[in-house]
Amino acid sequence: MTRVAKTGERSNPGQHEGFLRHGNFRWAWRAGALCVIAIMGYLLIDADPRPNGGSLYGYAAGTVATLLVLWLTLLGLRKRAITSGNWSLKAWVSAHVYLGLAVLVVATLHSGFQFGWNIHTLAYGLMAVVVVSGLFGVTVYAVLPRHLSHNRGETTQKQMLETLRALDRQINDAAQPLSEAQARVVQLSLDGSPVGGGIWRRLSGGGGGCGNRKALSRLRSLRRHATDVELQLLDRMEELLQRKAAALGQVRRHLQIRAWLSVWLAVHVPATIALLAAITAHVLSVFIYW
Amino acid sequence: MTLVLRQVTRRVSGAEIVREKELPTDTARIGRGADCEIRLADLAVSLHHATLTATGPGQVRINSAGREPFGVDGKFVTQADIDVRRAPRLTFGDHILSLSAGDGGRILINLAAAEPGDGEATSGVPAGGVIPKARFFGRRRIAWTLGLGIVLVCLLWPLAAFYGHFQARIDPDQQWSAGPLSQAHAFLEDDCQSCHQEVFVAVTDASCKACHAGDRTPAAMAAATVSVRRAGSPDAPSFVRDHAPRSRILWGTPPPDGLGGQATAWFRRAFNVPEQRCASCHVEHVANPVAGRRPELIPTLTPTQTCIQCHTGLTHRLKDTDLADTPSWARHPNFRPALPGPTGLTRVSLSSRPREASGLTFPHNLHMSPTGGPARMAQTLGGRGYGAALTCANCHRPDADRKGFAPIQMERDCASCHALSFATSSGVRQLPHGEPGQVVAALLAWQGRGPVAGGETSRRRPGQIGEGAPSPAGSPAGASAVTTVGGAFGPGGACFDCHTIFRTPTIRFTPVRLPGDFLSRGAFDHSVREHRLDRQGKPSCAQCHAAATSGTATDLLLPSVSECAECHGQTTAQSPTPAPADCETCHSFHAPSHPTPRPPRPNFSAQARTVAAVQTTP
Repeated sequence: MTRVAKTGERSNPGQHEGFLRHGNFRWAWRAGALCVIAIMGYLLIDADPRPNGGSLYGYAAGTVATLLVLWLTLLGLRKRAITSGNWSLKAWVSAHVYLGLAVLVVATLHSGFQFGWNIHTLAYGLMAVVVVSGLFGVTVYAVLPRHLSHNRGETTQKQMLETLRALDRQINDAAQPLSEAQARVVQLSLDGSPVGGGIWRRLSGGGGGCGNRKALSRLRSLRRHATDVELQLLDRMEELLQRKAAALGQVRRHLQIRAWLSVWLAVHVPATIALLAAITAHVLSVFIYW
Repeated sequence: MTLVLRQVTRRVSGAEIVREKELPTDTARIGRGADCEIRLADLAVSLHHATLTATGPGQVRINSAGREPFGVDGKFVTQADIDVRRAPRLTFGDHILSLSAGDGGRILINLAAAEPGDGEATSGVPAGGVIPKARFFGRRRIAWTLGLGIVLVCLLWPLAAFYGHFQARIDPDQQWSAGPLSQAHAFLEDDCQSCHQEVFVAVTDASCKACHAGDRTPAAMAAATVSVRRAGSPDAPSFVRDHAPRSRILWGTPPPDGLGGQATAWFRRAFNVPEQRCASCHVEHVANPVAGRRPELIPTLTPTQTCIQCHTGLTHRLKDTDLADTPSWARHPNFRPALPGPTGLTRVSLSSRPREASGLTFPHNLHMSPTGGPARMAQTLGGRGYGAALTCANCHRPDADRKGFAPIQMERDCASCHALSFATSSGVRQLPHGEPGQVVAALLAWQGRGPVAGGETSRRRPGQIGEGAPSPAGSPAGASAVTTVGGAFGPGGACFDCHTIFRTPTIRFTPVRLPGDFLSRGAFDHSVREHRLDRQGKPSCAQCHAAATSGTATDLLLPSVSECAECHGQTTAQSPTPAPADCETCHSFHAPSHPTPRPPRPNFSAQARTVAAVQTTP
């Protein structure tokens, strides 16, 4: 028998239920029903001369789609408002995801597949961008967290960076006896191994043009002219650089996954605001040139 | 000259710790190597980078040990002689050596690491963690830029242009167009305000009628044509009239039916979209260029009501209408031809078997008989369109478009047999037709000069002019003028043959009233092959017009609507010549007395079209 949870307690602590599975796919079913009704209406109502936003069905679908978009936008406010148990945020996100997908269907039927270079299609396109970016976000939320966990192991981002700094200090100290040319190569690793930075560098993993990698490969070529004493120093240096390469790989992968987990929001949120503006212009322009 | 090395380090609290060390000799090696007197733990510095030598009081010389230069007050050199009193700054990698003169001829060498700039990292890993993202394309900034940009470009700019604040070459409100206009209206694509004249007001009929009103003077319509052509129209506008005054159309329209209809009506009322406007049926902006759907030639026609819908129960909604209800083709009221009556033309149903009152005496059966006098006469006349018994076409000539018939003209259609010419001693004379007064005058004038030549001869055949004119009035030779005139108008006289004449006591003609068009509210197209020829290709007039059995001119030789229904509305199983029973076959919306032109606008012609008669209704 299921124990009824008290306020502030998880209802089913034994099993985690994500926002996608929330309430046994309650919102997926509701959004699906909305899509079915919209499609049936589109097929059964014979709009004359052709289906478009200006038919009775078109206006009805457009109104539903607009109200949905406005409600979907409210997630930004809802997630910032802490409520005491009511209006479950998980349920809200679940509805946001499934109704957001339904908007794509309803708005497409609203358009009657009539597109052109105009404000109306701009609004549609922005809506599609928002939905597709949201879909992408849901996908990365479903897939990437376990990779993030796996990559991180038991460490935190702060610890990863501390490791890098410690390695840099060791490399710096170990390089002091090196010759000028060898020191210059080591300097490549110390100066040219950035972590983080711009969005593209983060998304790509930031490996391209890495100073540490260059230092490793050039160090090997320097070994040919090195004396025995220097070879020992270079062995030590290579080991340090290898360790740095591993540490760099881990922290860059960490930042890469985190970047992919948030990059869709950089499209989703601005496109939503642009969509609100475009819907305003779309609706008003229709009524202005009634 | 003693060299003193002062190493300055900084505490976290900001305080400086200075360690002084006197160097044993006047020469100091500078480098990363452990054997250097001035050791710089900097990979940018060589193991033995340079040598500093005190050369005199307050004078030092610095030589690079290899090819690597060093900085002196910002300049990179490999050798320098320096006066210490100038407080020079030497740079080696990230380290700075500041020289200064001390007490007792000592030369102080201050060694400090260069301070990193703001945000500048001393190694690949910045002190605060990772290199921060560029904030230029921050989420919030993009959102505001896009949102405000769209409102500005897609809403405020077109609106400002609507109110005439911009006179740019670009038409910003074109982006509001949901789809291209029809080809006929494509020239208005960049002039939204030619139709959308007021904000938040649905396109009014006034916009359409500015070009298309057909109830204006020809001059006004010609001016409209010039105007639209100047604006770039490929063709002259089609001029149309209203089906009926809009108020009557609104009253005559049945109330909305069903949930969808009522919802639509509510929506239209709530959002101020009046019904029964031109734009209610003629829809624009429905083409879809992306899906490859080309714009229509003319605005897409989407009738809001069918003919049947309004004309069923119309008499209940419009009490004063003279139109009969037509709930279906099967229940189409019988034709009501317009017949001359005491108060002008009156429409009378064929079902009441009306009689024609043309004022003529014309038995069709006599003329159509293959064996009677007229047949013989026609055979005798021979090569002037005759030669055999008379047919309909001998007298009834098609009009210009061959859809109807030209009015009967006595001189053209009857006079071949019923000639009004007669011979006199001075030659052939012609009695005028149409004006009885002139006939009398002509007869009196002839009477004063001598007898009718024909009176002296034996009987002549009609039409044998020249050999001896027939007696126009059958007057005997030497009769008085009065007798002669009386003869012409009396029984057996030339006029009496065809006209109804009373002598009470003056001679009075019954006025001849031949209706130009019996069916004034619909149209029958005689040029349609099936309408004029039978299956063997012979004229099929007799199928509808019972002329061969009509013995009097008062017979109205019009078929009833049931004749039409023998083909129209029949299936191929029911009739060998089935035809559609659409209302528009005989009635067009804008000109109900004419069939709907098909196709409405076949092509855009190069020439200016004349004001289309077919589109206008009397």
